[in-house]
Amino acid sequence: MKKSVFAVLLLAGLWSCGKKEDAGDLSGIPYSPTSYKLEVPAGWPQPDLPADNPMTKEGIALGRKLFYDPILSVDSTVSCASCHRLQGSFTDNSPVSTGVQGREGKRSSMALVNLAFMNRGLFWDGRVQTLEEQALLPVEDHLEMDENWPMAERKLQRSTHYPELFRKAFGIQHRSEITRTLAVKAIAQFERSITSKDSKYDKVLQGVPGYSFTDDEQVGYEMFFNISKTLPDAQCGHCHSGALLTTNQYLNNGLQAAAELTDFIDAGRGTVTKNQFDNGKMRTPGIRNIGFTAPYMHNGSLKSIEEVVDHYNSGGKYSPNLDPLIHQVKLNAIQKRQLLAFLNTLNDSTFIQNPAYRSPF
Amino acid sequence: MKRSHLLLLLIPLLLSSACRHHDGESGFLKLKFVPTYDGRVLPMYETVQNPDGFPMKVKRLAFFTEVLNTGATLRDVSNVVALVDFSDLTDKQRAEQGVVKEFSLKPGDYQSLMLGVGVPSGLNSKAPQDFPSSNPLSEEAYYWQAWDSYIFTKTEGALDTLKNGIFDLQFSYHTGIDEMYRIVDLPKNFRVVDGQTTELTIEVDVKEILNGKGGTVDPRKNQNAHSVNNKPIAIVISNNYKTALKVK
Repeated sequence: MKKSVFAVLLLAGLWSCGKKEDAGDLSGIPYSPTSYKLEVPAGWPQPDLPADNPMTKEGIALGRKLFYDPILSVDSTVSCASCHRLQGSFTDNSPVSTGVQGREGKRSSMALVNLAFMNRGLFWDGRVQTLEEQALLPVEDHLEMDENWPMAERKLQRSTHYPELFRKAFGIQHRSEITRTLAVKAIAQFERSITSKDSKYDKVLQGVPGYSFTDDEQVGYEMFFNISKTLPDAQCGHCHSGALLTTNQYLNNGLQAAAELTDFIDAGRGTVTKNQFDNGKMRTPGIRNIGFTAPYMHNGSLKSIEEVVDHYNSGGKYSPNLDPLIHQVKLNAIQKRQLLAFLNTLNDSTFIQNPAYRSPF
Repeated sequence: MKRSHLLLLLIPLLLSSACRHHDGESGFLKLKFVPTYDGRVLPMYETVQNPDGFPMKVKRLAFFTEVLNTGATLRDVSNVVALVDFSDLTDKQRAEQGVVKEFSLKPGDYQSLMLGVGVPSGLNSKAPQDFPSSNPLSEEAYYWQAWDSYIFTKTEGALDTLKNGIFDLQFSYHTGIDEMYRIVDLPKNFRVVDGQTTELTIEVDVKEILNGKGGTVDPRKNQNAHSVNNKPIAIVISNNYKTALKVK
């Protein structure tokens, strides 16, 4: 009798130990994600949202945390936000970005604005098509986070708080189900939620009472989009048009001089397509919040908007595949000032103060 | 019971609608558009001599088109007009392969192929945000805000004005607005058969676009045309498309 009581107690003890060991079980945490509807302002294109990664409030919250957390880098010093800071419209305001151990990157960080509406590739050279694909790369880039994904996954699985957030966002049953696929899905959801739509330019176009261009801004606007018969065409609107202020094309804007197609310091799009006529071409960025994103161009070589205007006014540097739309514009000093006045109406100061985009830490 | 009867009635209707291209009332027309210069295949960036003897390179050549023969539609029914863009045809092999667009067409014998060059007015009153990203009319690069119009055609390149190997003069000619839409009737006997594909090649000759019956555009005199100030040049190019397209 004593023996059987002991055996029962032993079994009960073993069972309770077994339960304790499975600390990764998340099934007790409620999973009821709240759908997030992305606001599409009037006149904007419809976003291409992936069916396999619907936006939820929980997914965005997790993505925001991962975006700002250096946990994904090899030495926990660099996060996505290290190179994409809100006050710089999610650029880092440096010519090129700096990764772990002070390693300098090769290109300037791009602004992360209205990405849900961009559908012609990402990075300066368009080497990936989706935000999910994009978010995979910096983690293992030697010049950025220099981590490897298996290790990053283990760090997230062992974390005291991430398993619960992954459970709430994606309904996983166990912390071992935390994968890079889910991590980049969450980051992509957060990035898709980042929308800038409240610049003075937007408000004037929408006819919001109390908003109108100054005389200089109006002249600059008409030159930018070549609206006036009497003012010169500043040629900007060919590549920076529509609600997003970009055509999302890959173009050679005359920033790099190259006698031959193989002479470009940075071949850009050509490294992706392997077509030498694409060498030196870069993705045309949207220029919303241009006042917050200096320095400019893929290599950050132009320090101010004035230098950008001067670059295009000059007709750019020669190369065999220089875009035909790049040629001398010949704006005078007053016209350049007026163009600058208009460009500054593209700044959305409410965006860089939006608490939804700030660090959650 | 009533519901099941209704379903039985609906199923054949749904099936017939899904198979409308295979119901014996439609054939297919595959058009291969090939860029040429004076009748020879022209890869983008290849040097040619312009009529004034200056070396010239075409860097971008593109236009919207539709088949206007009665009942014709693009086979990809989500689009209404096709964008023929030669910009990536940078070597001879690719240029010879051209850009292929497929249309559905009523079976029968035809004496001509009727093409529209540009975006018809009903669609030209819309803007890129009105279309999904799979439609070429969603392309911001082909919409010109100042005209409230799509850019119907693009002819862009560079000229070597000093004949020293440096193509120093960039040119870009865009056409747009409703009055620049052109109908091009190309005489050609061809037959479209039920469920079968007829193939035709359309040559698009840049020499004719810049120096055609509608007039001449000299890049040394006019470097650009994409505003109301340059409308006469855009009109010349629009008119020249009438003879620049040839069916083989």
